[in-house]
Amino acid sequence: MTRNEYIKNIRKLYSLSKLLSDKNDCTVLLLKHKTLDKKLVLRSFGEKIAAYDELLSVNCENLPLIYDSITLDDGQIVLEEYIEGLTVDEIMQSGRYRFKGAVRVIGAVCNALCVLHGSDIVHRDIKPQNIIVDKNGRVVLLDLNASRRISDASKDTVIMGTVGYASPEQLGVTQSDKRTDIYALGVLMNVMLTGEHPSVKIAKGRSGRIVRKCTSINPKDRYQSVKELLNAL
Amino acid sequence: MKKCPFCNAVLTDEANFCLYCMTSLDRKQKTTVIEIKKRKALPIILIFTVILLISVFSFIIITDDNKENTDTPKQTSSEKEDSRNDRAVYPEVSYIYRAAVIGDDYSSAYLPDENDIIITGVETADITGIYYIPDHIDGKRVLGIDPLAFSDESIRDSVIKVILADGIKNIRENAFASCINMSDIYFMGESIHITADAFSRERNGILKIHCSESCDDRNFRLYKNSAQMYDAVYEYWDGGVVS
Repeated sequence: MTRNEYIKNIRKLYSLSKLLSDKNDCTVLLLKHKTLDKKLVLRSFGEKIAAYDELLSVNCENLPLIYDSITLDDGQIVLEEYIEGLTVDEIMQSGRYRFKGAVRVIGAVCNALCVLHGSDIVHRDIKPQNIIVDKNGRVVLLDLNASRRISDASKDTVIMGTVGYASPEQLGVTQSDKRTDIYALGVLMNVMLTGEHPSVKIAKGRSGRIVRKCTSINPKDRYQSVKELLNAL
Repeated sequence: MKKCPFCNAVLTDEANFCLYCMTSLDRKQKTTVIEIKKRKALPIILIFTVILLISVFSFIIITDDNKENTDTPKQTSSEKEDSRNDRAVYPEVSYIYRAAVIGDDYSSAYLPDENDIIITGVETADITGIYYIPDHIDGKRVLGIDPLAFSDESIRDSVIKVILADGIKNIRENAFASCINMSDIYFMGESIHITADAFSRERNGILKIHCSESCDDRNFRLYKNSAQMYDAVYEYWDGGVVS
């Protein structure tokens, strides 16, 4: 069965609420059950993303629940929990975070990364647009499209991530690992507190020290794990 | 191919999720059920006083129950065991409910333990319209159903029948107040307290209350004269499958 056939079948039970994204052979649809009135997210990939198979057996408050991961003839389809809320990017439209609020969000992302890193998965695309806060204050890290397993021996062959949040190693210098995500967390924290990239304006005081360490050019100078970063926070 | 254990839909062997009833088939994928709201524990002296009062009232009730009731035929011990064996075995459905640890506003008459929980909401609508509420979720005792637990817009109209497990002690006010399509409620236990206004005042039909033959009005503190209960009818239920 191909991805299009699967989607055609699922449309018998679900109506299409919204096309969330369609780029780089990755389509994300928001579907609504015609009878139960409940929504879910369908991600269609042209390649296999192993991270989703790992997350099938995981239940973490700060990651969306992965309902199913289906391997098809021409790629993979993932059914995922729909989280309704505002992204951190949208929240920041109305102002910058204070330290306490930023720590809460970063802490939640660290919790999600603990789970991912524990399964040897690097997210590689941590940014305000990929973090959502629902009406109950639940913070969720979304979008594993750029993720990959650390254990893969080959060097990153494709530059993944978002400009500004991508660490030097993501831009082709060395292999991505957990400290890649820590770099992005440092940039994220700085942007949440100052509105600017650390290279333009760095946060003051203790926050600034944490950001500097996270965003060190040399991965060996950064926090070596999210737990270490959490302790610092 | 395999069948969904909840809605019997035919699924592929590799499926981890039922698209028909939107249920995860992998038990490890239980959604967050318990919202832990820690509250203060009751003082020990108060608990002792309550235990004493309960003992006194229980003695009075037991003494009353020993009187012969010629109207209701009694089962022999072997018949009772047979009817228990016939009782339906319901699937584990803990995933569809939200629950919270009971607070100190909960009546001490039910001898609550600090880890007991109450149903505060419903996560997933059941497409069959039949809701089984177990007396234990994740090892914690379910004491009762909180106000407005079944009032979510996405849930209330779907509620047709409700089955309450043996250990559930209390249905609080407005628990089912929005469930206008609810037609039947089944009690597996023999003693439960139903607060006034627990059910909808406006219903599409009569509410049938099904209970075992060993229940009677003295155990069921139902507000029979209340506006929602005046049109309720009682039916004997042997605990068999509800469909």
